[in-house]
Amino acid sequence: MFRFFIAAVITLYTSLHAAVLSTEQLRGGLSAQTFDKTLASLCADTSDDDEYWYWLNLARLQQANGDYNSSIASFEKAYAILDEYENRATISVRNIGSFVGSSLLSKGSETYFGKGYERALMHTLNAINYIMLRKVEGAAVEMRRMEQRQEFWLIESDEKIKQAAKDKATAAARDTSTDTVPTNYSMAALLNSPDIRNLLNNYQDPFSYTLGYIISEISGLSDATGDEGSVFLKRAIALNPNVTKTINSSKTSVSPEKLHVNIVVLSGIAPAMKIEKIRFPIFHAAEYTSIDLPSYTPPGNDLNRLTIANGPRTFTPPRLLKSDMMAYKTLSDEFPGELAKAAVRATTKGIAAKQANDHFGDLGGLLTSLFFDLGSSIADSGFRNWETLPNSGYLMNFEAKKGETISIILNDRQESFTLPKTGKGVFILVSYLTHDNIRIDYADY
Amino acid sequence: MKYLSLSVALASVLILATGCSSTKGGAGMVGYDSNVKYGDAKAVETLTDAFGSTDLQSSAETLTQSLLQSRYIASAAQPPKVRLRSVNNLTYEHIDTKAITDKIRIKLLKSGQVRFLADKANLGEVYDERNLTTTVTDNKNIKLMTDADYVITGNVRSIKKASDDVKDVYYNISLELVNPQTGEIVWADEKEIRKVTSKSTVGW
Repeated sequence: MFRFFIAAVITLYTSLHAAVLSTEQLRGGLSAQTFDKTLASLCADTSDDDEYWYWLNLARLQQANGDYNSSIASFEKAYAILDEYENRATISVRNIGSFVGSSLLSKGSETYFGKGYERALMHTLNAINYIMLRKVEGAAVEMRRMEQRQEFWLIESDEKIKQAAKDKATAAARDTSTDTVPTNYSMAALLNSPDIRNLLNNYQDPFSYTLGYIISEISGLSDATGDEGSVFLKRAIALNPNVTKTINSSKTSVSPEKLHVNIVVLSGIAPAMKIEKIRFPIFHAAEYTSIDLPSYTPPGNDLNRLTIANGPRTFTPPRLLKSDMMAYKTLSDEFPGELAKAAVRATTKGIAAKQANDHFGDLGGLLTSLFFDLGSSIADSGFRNWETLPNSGYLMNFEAKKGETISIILNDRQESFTLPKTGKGVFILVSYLTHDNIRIDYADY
Repeated sequence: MKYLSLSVALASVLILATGCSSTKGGAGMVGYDSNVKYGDAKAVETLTDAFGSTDLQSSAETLTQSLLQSRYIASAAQPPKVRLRSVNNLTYEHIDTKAITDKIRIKLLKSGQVRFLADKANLGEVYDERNLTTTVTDNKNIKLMTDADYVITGNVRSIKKASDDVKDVYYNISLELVNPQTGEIVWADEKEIRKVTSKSTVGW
């Protein structure tokens, strides 16, 4: 009877979380041979179509496939889910449920609504969709949204910082230490890296702001918006001084035989969040206990070398979008709270097992402990995020003669692109998913 | 019995976990039954704080009335030729500003106080149509087709502010009547809209 009950619950639970494509299948299915099948599977899998991460992953793959209209539609679905979350009641039953679940049971009980940089970057990537469809005004709207979205993240971050302090106090009251990063935690070295700690913040990136400047210039609306473009550029330079190397085209119109060239390269896949279980000396009664902490799989398929050549000129665009760094910075900022929560979860589990042991004997204690582990493992397996977010973004702006050929060297591959013979400028998007799956598309204006 | 009690306790834990982890962010987009009916096109719409049909209608109404009362239109010896240029969208939303200009054009045309020239987007098609009927370019006629007495331009702007509980969106829709020969702005007006959304204190 009891075994039947467990089996039934597990079956039910697993079916609730069954996604057609696992994280590994999604991230591993991006090569030229498998990409179409991966995209088709993701499109066909509607089991998670009320999840934020699903639409983000789909939107990214559709963009890399050149299907910009579908990508916009998918991003809009993601926005709707996030908007609904951001507009929830002050005391929301769902938020409380998620909070209680993640505080007491498992990190995987949290519903994923993205981190600050992801919420900003979805608008940046969608702006690129609009440019590719030659809807520059729409692209400009997305860049404004990119900035607007940060406001809610700041409110949410502030709440998280306050909650972290409370969690830390709770853990301290229970005589559990959350002051140090566990040495056997895979992210320990990264969290202490000066490169991560010295990032200005965890949600603003110079790539988005430089793109915002270029869009503002292309749209010709910068003056009407109080020189919005210059504001974007100043912010980009404040975040990364190398941005000045990327803008090589004059603001005024070029001579008739030339045009503005804007090249954007999006490459690789950013680290994907996972939940790591580690043994940690935190609960005195049990000596060592297992705690679950958010962690990241390494980024993949990224570029080591990018060079753009136009006649005798050679450009080496600086890496402006560093999704991995922003992910690690976010984790670093949130880590004290996460560790405190993990300690509370471990303590809850210990107390529940102890009480079950007192009431039902050794077997009861053991089964309760196993149930907690099983429940959290199942919940953790369904914990997904934006697993196809580009890891790197490069941007280069310069003037070139119409009809000329430019070379784009991506690691050991050289791609050529012939510039249009008409128009004021061209926006070239290079999507580098893997070494054999590269798409170059353009929109002239 | 002992095991049954334990089962119930553990089931409660698992159900709680299931309930929490399967909490969806669902934006109400899927899985709902449809129930279609006709509504009043002029009824006030307050579904969201986004720029909507009521805003479109009230903006077009206010600005058209104001424009028709301006002395350059009201006191003109004969209805002036006007070309509607684009209204720039400088907001945080994907507003179809063509819907605003189209509505204004219809209202102005119905008044009979102005004549409209084809706008920039349609001018190419008008040229094509002419080329089908004339083999020699008639510069005089082309000039008649392209020379406007006035040009209407505009902007839609918005300012969004949010606190923990309240979201405030301010829209400003402005139009200008410009003499293209002199660059003089002979009329300008605006329509302001403010929408405030408050979060519920308690909810699902």
